[in-house]
Amino acid sequence: MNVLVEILKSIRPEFDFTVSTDFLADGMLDSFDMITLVATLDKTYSISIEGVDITPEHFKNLATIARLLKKYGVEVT
Amino acid sequence: MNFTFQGKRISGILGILPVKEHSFLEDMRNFNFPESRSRKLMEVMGYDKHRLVEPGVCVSDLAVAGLQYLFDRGQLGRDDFDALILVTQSPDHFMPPTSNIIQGRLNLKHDLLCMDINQGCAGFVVGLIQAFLLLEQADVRKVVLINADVMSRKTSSKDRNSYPLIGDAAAITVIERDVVDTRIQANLKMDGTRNEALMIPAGGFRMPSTPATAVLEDAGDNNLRAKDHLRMDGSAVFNFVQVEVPPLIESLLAFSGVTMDSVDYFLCHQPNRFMLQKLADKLKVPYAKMPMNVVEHFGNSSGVTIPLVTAFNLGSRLTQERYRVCFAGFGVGLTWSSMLMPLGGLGFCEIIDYP
Amino acid sequence: MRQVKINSEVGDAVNRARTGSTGYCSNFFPSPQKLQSWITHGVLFCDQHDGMAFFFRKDRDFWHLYFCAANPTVLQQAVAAHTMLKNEPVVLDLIGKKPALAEMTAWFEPAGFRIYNHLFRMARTVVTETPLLKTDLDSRVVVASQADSHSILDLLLRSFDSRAEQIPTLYEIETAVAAGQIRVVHDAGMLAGLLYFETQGITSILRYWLIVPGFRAQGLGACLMHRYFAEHPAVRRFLLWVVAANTDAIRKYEHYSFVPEGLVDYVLANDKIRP
Repeated sequence: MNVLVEILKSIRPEFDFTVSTDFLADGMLDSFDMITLVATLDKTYSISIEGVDITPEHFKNLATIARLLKKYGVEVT
Repeated sequence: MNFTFQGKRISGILGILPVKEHSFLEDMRNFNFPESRSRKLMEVMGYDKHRLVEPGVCVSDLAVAGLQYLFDRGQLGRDDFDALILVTQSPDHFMPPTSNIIQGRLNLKHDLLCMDINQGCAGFVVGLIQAFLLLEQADVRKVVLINADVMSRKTSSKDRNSYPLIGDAAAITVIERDVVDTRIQANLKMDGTRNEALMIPAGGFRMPSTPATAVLEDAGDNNLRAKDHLRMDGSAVFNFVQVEVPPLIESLLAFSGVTMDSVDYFLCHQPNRFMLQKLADKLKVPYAKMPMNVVEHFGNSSGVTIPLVTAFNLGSRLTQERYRVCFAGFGVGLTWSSMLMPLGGLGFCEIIDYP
Repeated sequence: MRQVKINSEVGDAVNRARTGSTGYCSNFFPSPQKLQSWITHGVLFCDQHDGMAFFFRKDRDFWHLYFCAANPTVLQQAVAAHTMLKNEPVVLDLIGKKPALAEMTAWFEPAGFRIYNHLFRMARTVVTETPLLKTDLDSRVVVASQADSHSILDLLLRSFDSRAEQIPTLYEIETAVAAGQIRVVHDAGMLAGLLYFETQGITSILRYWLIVPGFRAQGLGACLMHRYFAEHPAVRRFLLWVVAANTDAIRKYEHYSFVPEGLVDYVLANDKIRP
């Protein structure tokens, strides 16, 4: 999870992503940030998250992002 | 729905771009957006510069300039074409049709079918379908298809989700019969239930423009937008493209009996680079075959982006060489459409500046 | 034959040959910029009659021939009858796939044209973007300035055959320099090598790449090529034309992953052109 938190902080350094369960509703990520996040995850883990998976529910919080990454064979602990 | 045409070809493409260039970074500074976030967006989405018209410039201005350029160079005879189709969502007026205005400004012949089509992102493919249908008529020897929009004039400069990526442009495509019995296949779908994903709420008759509709309202994320302005649900549009467009293209190729590998280029509408990369990944098309660089150079000019991506990347090669191309347009309506056809041996394929 | 003074003369002539034709054939596909340059510098001439237009472009001490014909029969008749093709040194380029070119070459043989040389096109397709690694680039490679223009022209004239390889004029080189399309390396103030390209969208054409004989085997060619690739991260396809007999150059291009693509350029010349 630390890696995920670091990635999120690199996009929005002003927020603490460990305290929120809904990044979008809490205004910590917007739709552009979501795309930047996907591009960063793709590059970091050498995966290609499919376009149909780039939906708000997959990027709600650390747990949902980790679950999405697991779908692409990436385990984040 | 599927379409099959025979014995038609594109014989020339001309892009017309406003000469004034705006920088994405400079635009974003106007929103007090941190530069680090802007740069990340630039890298991912492929934003850099966009071309916008000067105040007061309309679609007919771009179209007239482009046609006159072709007339002056002998690349199109003013009496040689029998239909003028204008695809735009930013007409000069509600009435008369802007295609008639163009006809009048250039003093074109009276035996000319002038038609405005209200379409956007899929407007090039829709326009081609209409042009091919008209060419079935013996009296229609040649069709001029114009895609043009000046959507920056309907976009809030305080809406950072839209303004920095919008582009203004026009393109003129000449279509005529081919002596070779070439086959062209296309498909098209529309879904009006999702029409609000891309919309200008006020200005028509459902919600006429008033002083109230011109008031900037908080659209979230520090964006301000009036009801008179373009409203884009970015997530909904992104998802729609990723879900609907791959099966559309796969269905077109299956219906045509053609493999993905045998298509030389996928010339798609250009919303942003990220969306197109995901589309290419899903279709397993190498990025070399799907140019995605129009937004970074010119912005997203709606229905003009397909002829622009064609002229910008293939340009003069299309005058000598021939390719099998797949055009794909998707967006407002919602509309999604694709077309497979041979493209090459053009009389002209270039981009000029306006003025 | 008349000098072409404005663009519309070209468009009109091409359209007249093309309109209503069922077997239109042509080798005339200039970019708008090249066409305008030729007209501005008074080097383009036109000879036109029913179903047929010839364009002649003056290049140093010979002519390039371009044609636009309603069909091959009209072309062959016009070629046989045209006195300039017998009396002046003329070359023409036919570009396409080999089988089609063999047929087109035969149209010109009765007028005394033979294959003078032939080139083929190679391509390097890029699958993923390569980031620009500034630290890896050799600082000896610089963007050419106008002060280099004459040396560039001299080098090209000494190194290539103007009849087969379309050597630019000085004003074309100056235009390319102004557009930042030429990279050079110098040694002791002298031009030691160059790389000249034209980029459009996702495609870049490598027009010339060479190192002066006295400066070879120092890695300068590689420096130029690496800089070229690194400066074009968005280009997906690099193209070049190479003389088929130049096996040394072909080997070097293959080293950089260029492969032949199937497109060939037959350069035909009449007997007024001596090797």
